Amino acid sequence: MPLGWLRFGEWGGSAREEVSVAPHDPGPAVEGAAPGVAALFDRSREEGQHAILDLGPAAPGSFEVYRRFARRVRFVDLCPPGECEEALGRAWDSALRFLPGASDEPYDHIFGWDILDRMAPCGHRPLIDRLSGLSRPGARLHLIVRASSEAPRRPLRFTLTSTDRMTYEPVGEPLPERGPILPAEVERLIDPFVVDRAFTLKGGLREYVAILR
Amino acid sequence: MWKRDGTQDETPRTPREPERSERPAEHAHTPVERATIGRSIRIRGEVSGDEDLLIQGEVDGTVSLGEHAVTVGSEGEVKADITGRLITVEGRVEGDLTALEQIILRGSARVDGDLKAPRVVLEDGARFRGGVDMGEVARPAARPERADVPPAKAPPAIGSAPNGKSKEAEPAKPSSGSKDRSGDKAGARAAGAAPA
Repeated sequence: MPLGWLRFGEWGGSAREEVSVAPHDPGPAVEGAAPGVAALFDRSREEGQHAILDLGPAAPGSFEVYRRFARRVRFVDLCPPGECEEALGRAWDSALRFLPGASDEPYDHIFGWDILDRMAPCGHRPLIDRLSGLSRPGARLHLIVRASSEAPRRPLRFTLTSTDRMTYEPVGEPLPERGPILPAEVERLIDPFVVDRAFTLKGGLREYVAILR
Repeated sequence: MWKRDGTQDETPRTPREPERSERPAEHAHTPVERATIGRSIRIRGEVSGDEDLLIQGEVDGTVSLGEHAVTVGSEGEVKADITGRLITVEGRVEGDLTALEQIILRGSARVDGDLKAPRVVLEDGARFRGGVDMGEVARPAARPERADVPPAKAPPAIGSAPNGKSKEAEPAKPSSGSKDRSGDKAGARAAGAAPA
């Protein structure tokens, strides 16, 4: 698996200094830089005809950003509070029912947010397989992963405030006790997507941008 | 029951008295009339017409208002595809929304379905699951003049309010082009169609 993105020093880039601190004790929404989002949109033409799939709930702020690039946007709300236990347990296929069908036109960008942490490990492979089937070649997948015990233990609801900033707030019940997902594990989990850029955010979160090869 | 906004007439209308805006060209400058489906009304079948509509009750079927505005009020619950010029949702909708100009989901809106309009607005607090297509929407074909539509001999009742009053189906209209989401809906639409 190529790990070139590690060698380019993205982990220690300027983005690290920009991001805000995630509180240890979950509180109100936190706003910070989103260098991964900026990287994702970097090569996307505004007023374009892109299609964006967001696995989170519909967020007006995110929609305002998406509409600058996309004509077609879909909010799946794959794992809403109250229903999240479906995905956290073995019934991951139940959560995947919210994904669009294969007949939908393929997507250019997918915002998965913290879905890997929300879903039980047994659901990761089916999820990625479905996402790759819904994506165009070269499509970009954006993920945020808890990378240390510093990270908030609850699911996070993310909202873009611009193409390079976002807010997030804890929602729902605490996640099951599981270790952080390390970079090599992320590489393995998201195949055939390949990590292109990654950024360490304060508060124990890591932001990944991957491309479908 | 059905009532018009902006009028002083609060007299209940008989169920068989159709509320329909008669807007000939010479009245083009009069305020746009709006019908209301009250909170106690439940309709199963096709709702169509030539005036704006506020839905505060329950509708299960299709809502096709072509060039007019449709508002699902905060107490409205709609399980139907909705087509119109401007669609505003404050209540609950399960179905696809297609608007010629704009769709607005207010903060209290709960929508499960796809949206298609050149402009879509999501307000803070709105809960929405589905797709948004911001492409142009083709205008519907002109509807036939009402006089050209053969009257229904015995339009079947398609819903009833808790107080026992009922609404009747309107004569069949040209297809709205909305897709069927379930067999139930198709059945409801068929039940609301006038005899050929």
